[in-house]
Amino acid sequence: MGMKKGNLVFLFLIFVSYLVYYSAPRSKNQTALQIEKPNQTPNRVIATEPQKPQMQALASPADASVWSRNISMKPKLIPSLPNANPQDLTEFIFNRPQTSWKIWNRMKALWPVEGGRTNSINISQFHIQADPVSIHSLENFSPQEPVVLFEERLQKAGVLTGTFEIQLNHSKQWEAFEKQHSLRLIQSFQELNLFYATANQDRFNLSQLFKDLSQDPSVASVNLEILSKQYEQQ
Amino acid sequence: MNNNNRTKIGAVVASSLLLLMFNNCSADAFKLSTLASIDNSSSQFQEEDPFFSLSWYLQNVGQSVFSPSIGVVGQDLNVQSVWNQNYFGSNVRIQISDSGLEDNHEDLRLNFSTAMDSKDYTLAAPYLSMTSRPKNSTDNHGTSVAGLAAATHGNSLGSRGVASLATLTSANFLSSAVTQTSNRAVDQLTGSFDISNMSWGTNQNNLGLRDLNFENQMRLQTTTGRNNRGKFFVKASGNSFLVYCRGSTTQVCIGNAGFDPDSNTPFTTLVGSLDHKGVSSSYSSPGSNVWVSAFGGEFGDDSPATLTTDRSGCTEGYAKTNSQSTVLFQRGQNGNVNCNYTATFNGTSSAAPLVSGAAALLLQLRPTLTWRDLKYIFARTAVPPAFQTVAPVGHPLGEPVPVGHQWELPWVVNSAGFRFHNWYGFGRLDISAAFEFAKTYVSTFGTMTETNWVHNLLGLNLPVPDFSAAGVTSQINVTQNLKAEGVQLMIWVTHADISELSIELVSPSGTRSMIVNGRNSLQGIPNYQGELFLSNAFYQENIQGNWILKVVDAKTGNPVGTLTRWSLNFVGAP
Repeated sequence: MGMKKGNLVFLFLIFVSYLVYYSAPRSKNQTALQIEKPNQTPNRVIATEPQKPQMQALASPADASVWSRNISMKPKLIPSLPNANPQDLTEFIFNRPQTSWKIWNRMKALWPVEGGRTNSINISQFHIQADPVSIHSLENFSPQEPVVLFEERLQKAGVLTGTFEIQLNHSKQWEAFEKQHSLRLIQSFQELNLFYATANQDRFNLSQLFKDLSQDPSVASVNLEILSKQYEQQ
Repeated sequence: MNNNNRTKIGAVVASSLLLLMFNNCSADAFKLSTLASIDNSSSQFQEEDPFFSLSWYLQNVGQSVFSPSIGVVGQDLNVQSVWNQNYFGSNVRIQISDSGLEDNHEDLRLNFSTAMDSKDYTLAAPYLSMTSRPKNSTDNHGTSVAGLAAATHGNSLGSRGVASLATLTSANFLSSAVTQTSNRAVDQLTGSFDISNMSWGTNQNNLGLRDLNFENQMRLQTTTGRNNRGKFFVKASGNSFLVYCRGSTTQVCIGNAGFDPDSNTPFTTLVGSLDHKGVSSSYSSPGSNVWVSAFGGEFGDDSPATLTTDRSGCTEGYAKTNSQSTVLFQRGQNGNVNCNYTATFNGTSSAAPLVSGAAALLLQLRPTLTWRDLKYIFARTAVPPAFQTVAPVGHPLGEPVPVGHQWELPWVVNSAGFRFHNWYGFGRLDISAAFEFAKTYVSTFGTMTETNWVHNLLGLNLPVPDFSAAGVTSQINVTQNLKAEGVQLMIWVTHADISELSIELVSPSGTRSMIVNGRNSLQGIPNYQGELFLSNAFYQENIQGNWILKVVDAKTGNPVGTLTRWSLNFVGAP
C-alpha cells in the first residue's frame, strides 16, 4: 500500500521544523541585533548634530532607525479644566516659594462617590466642578467643603482640605500641643516628628489657626495641605 | 539560542500548520491552541500554569498571543533558570500599592498575607486590614499588577508571577474610593514589606509639585527599613511618551517621566516598558530618572500586552462578557471561561511588578542585600536594547529644532562603564544575569551621603538665545569626592513657554544627560521655579570636577529667556 496522506503531512511538517531549526537566531545577542532593524514608522529627524562619538562609546554603526518608535496614540477622553475667570480668583496668602495659588471661587470640590463621576476633573479623587454660588472663606472653613485653588503659573487646580502638616521640634510634645490648639490628629509619623491634623471643630478660622500654629515655638514647620495631583495607574 | 529553544520553534511551527490544515476555528482559538503545544523545557511550566505560553514576557518564543504581531524570540525576562534552581521569592514580602487587589483570586490567594498588615485607606489611621478587596467597580488595576509580580505557580490555573511564592500585601492608595491625601501617600511607604510596587504616577503634561514629606519618608524607609537594609521602592515611569499637550485635549506632545517629582529621588527604582520585540513600548515615558526596563507590551489587539490575573468573574475586571475588546479572550473565550485573567493589561504598570518580582528572587537568594545593592545589580546586569551610541534621536513628532541640536541623546557609556539611555535606563532587566551576579556579589557601598544642595549658583542673568543649538551654559565646580548614586538638579529659568527648552547636564568626565527634551508637553507654562529633576546617567562616576548645565531654546518665537539659578544635590558614597 502507498503512504497515507497523514504520513505525507507528517513528513512535510518535519521538513518545515528543520528549516526553522537552522534559520533561528543562535544567541540572545544576535536577537538583540535583529531588533535594531527598523520595524515601525520611519522617524523624522529634522536636525542633527555632527556625529560625535560619546566617550568610551563602543563601535557601532550610525543607524538612526534604531530610534524609530510607533507614535500612534490611543484616544483618551480627558475632561479639561475650565478657564479661570480672573474675577473669580482672590488672594491666597499661604503660598510656598514655588507656588502662586489663588482661591478659586465659583468652583467646588466634591468628595468621591461610588464608581466616580463621568467626565469629571479629579484632584486626588476629589471631583472639581463649577458652582456659581461657591464663594470660599478661609475664616469660616469646613473640611466638608474643601476650598478650590488655582495655580496661575501651572494653570492647575488644587484642593485645600483644612489639614495642617505640622513638624514639631520634638514629637513627644504632641499631646500638649494638640490640646493647646484644639486640634484633631489625623495621622502621626513619630519618626519624622510629623503630624497631620485639623481643627476639632466642624467649622473654624483656618487663617487664624495657621498663624497660631506658625507662631508656636515648638513648631519646626507648618504647611497647609494642598492636593494638586491626581495619581493614576500607569 | 539553545537547542531546546530551537526544538520549541520547530514544534510550534509544526503544530501550527497541523492546526491550520485540520481545524476550522477562530483566529484566537487557533493561536491559543498553537501556543499550548509548546513542549520540552517549557512543558513543565505549561502544565503547571495553562496560560504560561501566553506570557511571552516570561518566555518569548515568538508568540503573537492574540494579536497579529509576532514577538522576537528570546526577548523576555530570562527568568527560568532561576526558577529551575527553586527560587520563587519565598519569605519576601511585596506590597502592591494600588487600587486594592482581589486577595481571594484563585491565582493570588495562596500568596496573600493573612495577617493584619495590608492598608485599607477607607478605614481610619493606621488603616490596618487583613483583606484588600477592591472597593469599586473601577478598582481593577491592583489585581492585575499583583499577578505579574506574584501569581501562584503549579496550581493548573492562569500563568505565574515572576516571584510565585512571594508574600503579597496591599495598600489601596489608588482606589477610586480613597482620597489621595498627603498623609496616605506618606503612609503607604511604611508597613510590613520588603518591596513596594507603585504602578502609578501623575500625568506628565504638567509639572507636579514636590511633596517633601513623601521624600523624607522615602529617605527614612530606605535608611531604616528592612533592619537598615532599606525597603526597595519600584515605580512605573509612566505612559506619557505621547500625551496631550498641557491645556489641550487634541494636540499631542512628548511627555517626560521627570515631570513627576515623586519619581525624582534616588530612593526609587523607576521602570520603563518594552514591547514583545524588546524595544521601548510606544507609550513608555522617557526620562533621565528611568533606572531599568521590563516588559509591558502594547495593547493586546495590535501587539501582545501582558497576561495576568483579573478580577474574578465575567461581570468585573478587564475581561468580562460585555467587553468591547476585539481580543476574544477578554470576553471569556479561548480558555478564559471565568474571565479570571486578562491578556490586554499593559503599560509601565505591567513592567514595574516584573522588577518587583525580580527583586524578590534576589532577596530570597541574598536577604542581606540592601536597596542600593539591588539597584546596582540590576544596573550592572541589564541588557541595553538597540544599543547605539552615535546615531542622533530626532523629535518623534517631527518638530524642528535648531540645526546642530540633539533632541535626544543616543546611548551613553559613562566613565564608570554604565550604559544609559533615557528610554531604557540601564537597559532590559535580565533576571538570570542579575541572579547569577548576586550570588558572588560583594557590596562596596559606603555610607550614603547627600551634599544637600550646597552647590547652588544663584543670581545668574544668562540669556538663553532663541532657537540656537549653542544655548547657554553655566558651570559649577565640585570638590567633594563621591561616587554618584543619583544627581538631582533644581533649575530656575524665566521664559514665556518652558516647553521650548531643553536642559542638559554634563559631568566632569564628559558624560551627557538630557534632563528635559525641548519641545515637550509643558506647553504654555512660564518659567522654571526650582523644579526638581534626577539623572541616573552619572551612576558611579566620581562627582569631583566641573559640571556644566546647558539650556537650549529649541523653538523660535518667544522672547529670549534667562537662566537665573541652578543647584545640584549629589547622592552617593565615598
